[in-house]
Amino acid sequence: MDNLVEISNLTKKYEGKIALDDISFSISQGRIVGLLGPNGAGKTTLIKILSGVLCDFQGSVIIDGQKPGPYTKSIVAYLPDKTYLSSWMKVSDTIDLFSDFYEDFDKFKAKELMKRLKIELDQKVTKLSKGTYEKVQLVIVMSRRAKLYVLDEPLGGVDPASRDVILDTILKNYNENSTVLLSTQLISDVERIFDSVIILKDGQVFINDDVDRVREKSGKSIDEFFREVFKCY
Amino acid sequence: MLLKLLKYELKSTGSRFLVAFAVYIGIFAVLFGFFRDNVILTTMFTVSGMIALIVITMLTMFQRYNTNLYGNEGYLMFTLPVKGRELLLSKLISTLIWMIALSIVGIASMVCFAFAYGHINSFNLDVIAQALLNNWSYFLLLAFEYFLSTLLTIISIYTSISVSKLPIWRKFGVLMGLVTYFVISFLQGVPIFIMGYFKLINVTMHIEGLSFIKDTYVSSVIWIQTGFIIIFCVGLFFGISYLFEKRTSLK
Repeated sequence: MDNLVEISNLTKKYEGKIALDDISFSISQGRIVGLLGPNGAGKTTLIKILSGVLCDFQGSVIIDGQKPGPYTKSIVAYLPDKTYLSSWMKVSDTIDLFSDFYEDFDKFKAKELMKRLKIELDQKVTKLSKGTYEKVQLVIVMSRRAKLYVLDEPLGGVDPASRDVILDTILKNYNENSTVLLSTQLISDVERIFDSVIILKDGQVFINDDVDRVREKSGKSIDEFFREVFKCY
Repeated sequence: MLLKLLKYELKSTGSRFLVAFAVYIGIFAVLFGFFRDNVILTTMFTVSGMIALIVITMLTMFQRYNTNLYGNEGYLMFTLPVKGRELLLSKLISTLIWMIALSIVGIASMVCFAFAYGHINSFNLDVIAQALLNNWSYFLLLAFEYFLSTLLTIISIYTSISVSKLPIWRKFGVLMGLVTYFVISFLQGVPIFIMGYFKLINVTMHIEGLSFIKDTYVSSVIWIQTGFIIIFCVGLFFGISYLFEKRTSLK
């Protein structure tokens, strides 16, 4: 299987503190990869580098054969753990904006998903509840036919009932040839969809393996294994 | 992509500027229509109204650049499949458009003011028009220099904001942004100062009347000044583009 992401000797420091420490790994096409780790392990930093909002790092990051730049941004669909839409926008404006800038954006699909999730298109984004806002962001990101989806805590601010809707949205809307890199702390809710996991610890890759193999070796679910490994944190 | 970026820039700032300009023009029209005899009132409004419009323009320029690129919205802007210089150009062009609109409103209100109180009448209007026609290339050059100076002001502020966001400054980002702005402002004055010091050019400016401008603020000085402004603008433009593409570090 071809590697979509290849990372070699990646190091990122913040004000002298090492967030990522000389990590190397690759991610194949067509996989759903869980990016796990305790707080401060470097998950968000790695995601920011892949999505192109962090540029000053050491090492090599190659996505679909190219360094992060306009091309990689055109094939990476990024959902940050922040609300990033402009306050003047209505939901319909967010759809127009994605449609204008991303060739792989499916406007029809976005409108359908918004309708299914009972989100009104003429609502201003500032008037949305936190959970609905996150759903809007997820819908516009998942309405792209991207090669790589990078989702940072997509379940962060939503209620348990909505989590199933969001996971369902992710599973039904990603292309089978695409890769999903999903960071989360709600492992038990999500681990069923993972093909493999990358667990970061202190800025280094602690585990990078298939979920079935991790379960087999540890005799535990990913959630139980994670709790056991990081119980002192 | 640049046109698309520009479309969203103008959409995001348009309502604020259009409302501000409309309110100013509306009050101006009412005051000069019904209260023209009250010179103190009309003068106070014209001056304070223009100051308010300038403050709104500057604040919007600062806020839009700062929050749209370095706040949470930056996570959207820096993940759009566009080059750093396109992002910067869209911000520059939209701000320039509003600055030019502000200048037009300002000049128009000054002309209306002068007409209303007889500072300009049919006699001296002819003289002014003749002076402008006879020296059209000179005044075109002045307008061009004004345009470039405005551009340099905007790009200097953008550079200062971008420098202040570099993680190397840690808690001193705002201070370093201010230092950057003062350094750029100082450097802008150096070339003309040096040439004036060595008497290579006459840099004395008198703007008491149209006839004096051309004699003292000579074309050669404007061309030299314009040349340096262009060099500064190009240098700062590529500097910011470099920061966007190589040093972006959103928190």
